[in-house]
Amino acid sequence: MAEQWLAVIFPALAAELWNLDGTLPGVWIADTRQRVWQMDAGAAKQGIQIGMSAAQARALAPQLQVMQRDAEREFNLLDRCAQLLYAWGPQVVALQEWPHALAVELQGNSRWRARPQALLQAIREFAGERLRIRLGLAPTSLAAALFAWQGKDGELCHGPADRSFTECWQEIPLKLLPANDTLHARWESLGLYSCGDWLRLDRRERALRFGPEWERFLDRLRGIRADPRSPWPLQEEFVVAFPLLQEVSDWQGLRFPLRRAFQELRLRLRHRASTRWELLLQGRDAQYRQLLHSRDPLTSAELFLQLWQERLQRHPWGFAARHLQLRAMDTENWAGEQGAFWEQNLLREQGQLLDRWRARLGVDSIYRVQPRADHRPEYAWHSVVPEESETNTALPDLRPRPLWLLPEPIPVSVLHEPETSELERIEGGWWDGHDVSRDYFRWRRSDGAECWVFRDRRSARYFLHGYFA
Amino acid sequence: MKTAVEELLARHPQRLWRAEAGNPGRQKHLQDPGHSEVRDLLGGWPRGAITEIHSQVEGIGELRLLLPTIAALSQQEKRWILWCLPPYIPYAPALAAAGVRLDRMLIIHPRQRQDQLWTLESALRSGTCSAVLAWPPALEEAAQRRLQLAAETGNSMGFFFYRDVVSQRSPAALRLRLQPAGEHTRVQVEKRRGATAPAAANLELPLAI
Repeated sequence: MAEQWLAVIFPALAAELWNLDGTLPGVWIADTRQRVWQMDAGAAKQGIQIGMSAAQARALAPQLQVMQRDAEREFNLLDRCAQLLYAWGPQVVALQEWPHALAVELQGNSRWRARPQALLQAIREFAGERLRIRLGLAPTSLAAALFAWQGKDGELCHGPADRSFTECWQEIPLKLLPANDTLHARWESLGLYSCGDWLRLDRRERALRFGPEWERFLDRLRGIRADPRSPWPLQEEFVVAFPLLQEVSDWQGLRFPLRRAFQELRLRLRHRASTRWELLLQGRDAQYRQLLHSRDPLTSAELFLQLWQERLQRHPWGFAARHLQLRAMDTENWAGEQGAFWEQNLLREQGQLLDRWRARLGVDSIYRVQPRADHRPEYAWHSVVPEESETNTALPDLRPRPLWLLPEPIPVSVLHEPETSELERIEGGWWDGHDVSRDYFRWRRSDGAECWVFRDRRSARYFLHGYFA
Repeated sequence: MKTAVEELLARHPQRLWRAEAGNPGRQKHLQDPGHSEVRDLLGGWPRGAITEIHSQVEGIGELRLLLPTIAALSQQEKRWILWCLPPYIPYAPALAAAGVRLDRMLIIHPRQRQDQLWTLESALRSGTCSAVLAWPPALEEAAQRRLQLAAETGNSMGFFFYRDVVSQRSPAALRLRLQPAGEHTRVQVEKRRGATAPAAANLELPLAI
């Protein structure tokens, strides 16, 4: 099977990065020769053109912003895109012939074959409204990139289905090749407009006239020469980080970028899922870190946002956040939700409700109680997390116990001494230093309450320990 | 041919009811209380509704009144029995001895009032709880109605315990007032849907089941 590469090109990433929120009328970036090198759609509307001198551009549209390149932001955005592409292919490479171009190898990818639109949609959603992208599909990464340059923004461009690649590639215009202006002018002066025109020249003559590197380039483009490239570094961790388009200080503002971060991570996680998430928000001089645990792996964006909403509205970050980072921790294999029977639905709904309660109220606010084999009443029970499986504790045959136990025994004054037959002696605890020696009995208080009272045999004082409610 | 009123009654058996005794349609919306005396007095606990239990004193049988129902629900249904804001520790050995399945029982302690109302509503509405035993803060009428509707939606039984002298107006389906009466507990029915006259009984509630 022939290889298949998908090229993703950002034609104006350096400029568009500065205007992701669309607040500026337009942005352009100059190269070292003070010519327009990249511009966004706003600048193009004002008549700015690539290659125009900076002075001319300023005179034409003085209201536009001239920006410097921000290499770090450009790399971060390309890295996020590359990590996303790794969900579809084993190899993602940077096409360094162009400033912002990536390619992913899709050969043998059943997910791509089954639903190619899913990948294209994911890339389009990643780019959003403000980043232009071009997509190309071909048996070599260079050809895919050149097809992409031929296409329209946002659309996938590939050779006609009824023609083979060997026929299609020859029609690629030479002006799309990443050569300098002098070489482009020379090709044009010689009447060479397409790769097919190039091929008709003698091979040795081509190498002499234009340099051997272009011979090698065309060979790699055609797929007759190996095109080894270092793979883009694959992140071991599942982290998404990006600057927020505008400062965010409440949940409403955070909801959209958080959803975007989650969806990006979900695509990367593929058959994995996580029950622990870490959110890091950064402001000018403040930082906020919050962890979220869920009972089941979170795969639904709605539930994910619901849990974060409960958590963040209870524990607001209290400053204007400018940067967001979301990390999926302790990822595990996830085979999808199983079954749809009523009981399984109930379990799922209970799990989701428990997650919401925990997110809002805190993990310690919800618990179960279980009996424990101990004679001392305060040690005869313990609290456990709701998920803990039931243990069958053999209950000794005791006298009736009260339904309410007081957290601490309260001293009381008992007016009458109980009969000996009414007493239940409870002693023990020498082994753990909480030794007790008590005589328990029922006592009806004057207000009618049925109390569980004990007489401490050491101090001879009476204590209320529970109610037969 | 049914009259319009009969059709409405048939369509909304819980929200519309006739103020007459022995309405057979109501029986299926009642949970058996487990005590014969309570059954004689009330018929049963209303499902999908709030029951208010008022008493000035704790420890006069307010939980023992419900214990057979709680035990039965925990064994028959996989839904939770939620204890929201209990004033003391629900004592596990006593509950287990009464047959309550503790793995279906949850205890929750929301601190702030807003969280308390939110928790109650989410528990009642979600359909994940067969019963919600709550010791809520004082509720205004709008909140009471909201919780009543949530209980209907989730088909949950809400048992709300109050320590007050005078009962306020409330949309609860059933409101009881408990008072100590010697060795017994006096249960006075202050409000019951479908009842024509107030009722009361002195119940002997056993310490152990």
